[in-house]
Amino acid sequence: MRIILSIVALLLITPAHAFDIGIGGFSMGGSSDKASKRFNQAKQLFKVASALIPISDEEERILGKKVAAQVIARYGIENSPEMTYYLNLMATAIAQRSDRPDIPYHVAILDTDDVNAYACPGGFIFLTRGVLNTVGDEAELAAVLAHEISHVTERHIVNALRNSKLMKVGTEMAAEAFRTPGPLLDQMTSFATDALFNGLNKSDEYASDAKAIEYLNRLGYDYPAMFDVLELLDARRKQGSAEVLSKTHPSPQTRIQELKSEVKKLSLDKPTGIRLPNRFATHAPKQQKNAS
Amino acid sequence: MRLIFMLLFSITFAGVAGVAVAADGNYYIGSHSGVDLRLAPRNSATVSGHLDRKTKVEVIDTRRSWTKVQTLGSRSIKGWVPAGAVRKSYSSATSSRSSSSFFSSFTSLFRSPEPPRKTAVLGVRGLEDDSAASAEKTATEQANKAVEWMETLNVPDEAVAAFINEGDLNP
Repeated sequence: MRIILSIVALLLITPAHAFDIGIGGFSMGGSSDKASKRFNQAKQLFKVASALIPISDEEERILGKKVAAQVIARYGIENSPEMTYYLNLMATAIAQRSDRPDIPYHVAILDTDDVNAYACPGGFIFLTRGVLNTVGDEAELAAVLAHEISHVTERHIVNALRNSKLMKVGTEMAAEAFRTPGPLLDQMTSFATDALFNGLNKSDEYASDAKAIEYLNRLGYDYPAMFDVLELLDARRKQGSAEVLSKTHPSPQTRIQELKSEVKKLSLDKPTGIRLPNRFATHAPKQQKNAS
Repeated sequence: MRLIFMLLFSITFAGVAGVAVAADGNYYIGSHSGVDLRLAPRNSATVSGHLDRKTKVEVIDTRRSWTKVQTLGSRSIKGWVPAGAVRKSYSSATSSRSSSSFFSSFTSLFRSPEPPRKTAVLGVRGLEDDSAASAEKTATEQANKAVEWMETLNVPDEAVAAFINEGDLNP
């Protein structure tokens, strides 16, 4: 990696005027052609080098903690020990069958009636009280959790960060930022928090919906619950109680259409019909106090 | 001889008591398999519960080689345990591995205070800025503590297995 970066640096320090014409595509021949080629090679190498900058699980956890603190500072935590325990049991069960079972996942409830959920890097997951009041059984709740867990397993925010300009500082400096927190880590946190609050790529959301179905299937929940959740979210959105979700996610109906086509590509078992409404009900009533 | 024996006896139990009542109350159960909670400070006393390893406790009394402890949180329980089972915690976030310690770790609401407000409205600065900065700092500190607390929300593998089994899900 160091060698690649050195080459990139060498190519980049070539006199700027050598590139002037090539950039615009007006090749004047001779040395300008070479310069243009070298510039494009440098750009390409830099792109490759940037894409290769890794973020380890531990670095992701450091970032995730800072992002999670931002989420908590915005909403506060709902004090529901039993429901929180139930959610952590379920999240661990799902995560064990996910594509990334080797990191811990922790779930907390946010003190807001708005219907939404957040997945921070490093496995910090938040469900709002509003979303808990929306789902009707355990399979639907598992669908929401599985969707959030898949944002972590697919490293959606981390990959967005890796592709951002922030990571063009190079491997060493990026690693140092995690070791010794400072302005760069603050900027990374800000980038990740913005991605969380303003919404990820639509393609990431569709991918997480499909992954959620896979995880539900692996664990044996009735995976069509994912479609039911999207219908419920649509209903809440129409009531105006999923304001943030509406701004940050594609519309539930679009997601349903996307998911239907994705499901055809997956190799799934026959739906199990396991929805567990009673087990959900034994934990859920305390959440209903603020239900609209 | 009797005097020497008494002296030795005092030193021995002073040490035990010293562990139990030391300073500021951050203790946890250190014995590997947890410890039985008893109604009185003796082995023959009725067992009133069990505390898992790493359960955070508060020391409320000591008697020779026994310590009376109380678990933290709203569902707190109290009872006597052998003094050697109680350890002093030097970190703020001791991870918990069982449902009882999971609940007892839920010691405070961790609700954030008022969200940080924007300041310098209509040119009013000074004290309002300071108090807003202070509120923001408090909110950040509380949020950081809440994240530390989140990291203790571990569930034991056996509990997950039971959860899967009970729901008739795929083991």
